Amino acid sequence: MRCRKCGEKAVINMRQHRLSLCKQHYLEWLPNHVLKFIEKHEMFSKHDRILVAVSGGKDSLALWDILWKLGFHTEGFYINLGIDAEIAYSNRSMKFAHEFANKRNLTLHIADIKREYGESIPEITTRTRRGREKPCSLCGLIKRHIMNRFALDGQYDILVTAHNLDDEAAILLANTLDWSLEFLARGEPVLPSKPGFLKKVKPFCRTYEREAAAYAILRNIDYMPDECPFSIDSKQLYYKKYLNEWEEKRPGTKLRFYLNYLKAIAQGAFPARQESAEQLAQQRCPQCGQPTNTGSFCAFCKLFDET
Amino acid sequence: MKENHIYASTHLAVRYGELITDDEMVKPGDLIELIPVISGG
Repeated sequence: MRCRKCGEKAVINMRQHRLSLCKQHYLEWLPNHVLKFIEKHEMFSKHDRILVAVSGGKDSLALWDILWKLGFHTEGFYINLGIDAEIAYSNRSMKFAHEFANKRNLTLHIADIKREYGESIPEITTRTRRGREKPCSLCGLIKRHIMNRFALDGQYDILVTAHNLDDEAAILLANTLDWSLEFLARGEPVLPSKPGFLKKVKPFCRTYEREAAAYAILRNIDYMPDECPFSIDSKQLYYKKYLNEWEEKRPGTKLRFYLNYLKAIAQGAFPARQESAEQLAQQRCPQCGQPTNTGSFCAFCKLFDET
Repeated sequence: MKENHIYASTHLAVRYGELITDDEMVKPGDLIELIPVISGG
């Protein structure tokens, strides 16, 4: 297979785009592809201070590398979840994130939940029913809270996460099967800022996981190759399995599914709940001050108060 | 990959440190590393 741009030997064939590229042209193509998406959705500009949530995995490190190469002002943020039994998942992931930042002279901030809140993810999942039943959901709640708080305290303009197309398509499939209208209304790649919440964006939303991995390999980015031990039976992997079967038979299925969903949102198919700034300002957790609609303590503070 | 029920969309193939496409002819004795690209999110 040959590179469509120069005729040299291709290193990647993207059936969904009917495009095969050599190393040099792939490493030019993906950053441009991501930049166009950033510009189309007005995610951020060169003037913004951007906090990139990094896990040490291929997606977040590839995205951070692309944003850095494109000249955006970025700093990284890693949350040490304390998942260290068996494969030392958190410690090794942190090491990959750290080495990546050091090589590029970038700033990486680290939060340690065991040190700051007294318990690691494995300890919380053992203690709570939600953790035992849905560890990934619990971990997501904790990460969102800590990321939002850190980004607001640090007065960043934007919080970037590296959710990719496969992640978004799997979440969309799950929410569609459940007809979760509230979640379907919030699946856009840009979540605007509102009182208590920083603007959150997902520049990798139309980038396949395979494309991100190929970029990381071709750029010689060392990333955490192992899966989080808690994600083995995750709902997301279950839906990804089906999506990958469909993608194999009909290349571009995931991309069409997600992009047509964005069109549907833009056409008003899933109207979001409107809350005034005043309402949001009143709905604050009395303990941490972050927004909540529980009427009392937020889910994060309740979780740690149970101890 | 097809014979082993592995989808091309879920893995990347690397031969001696170089990414290769799914139509690449491999020779007996070639060492091919299949790198899974789908994570649990």
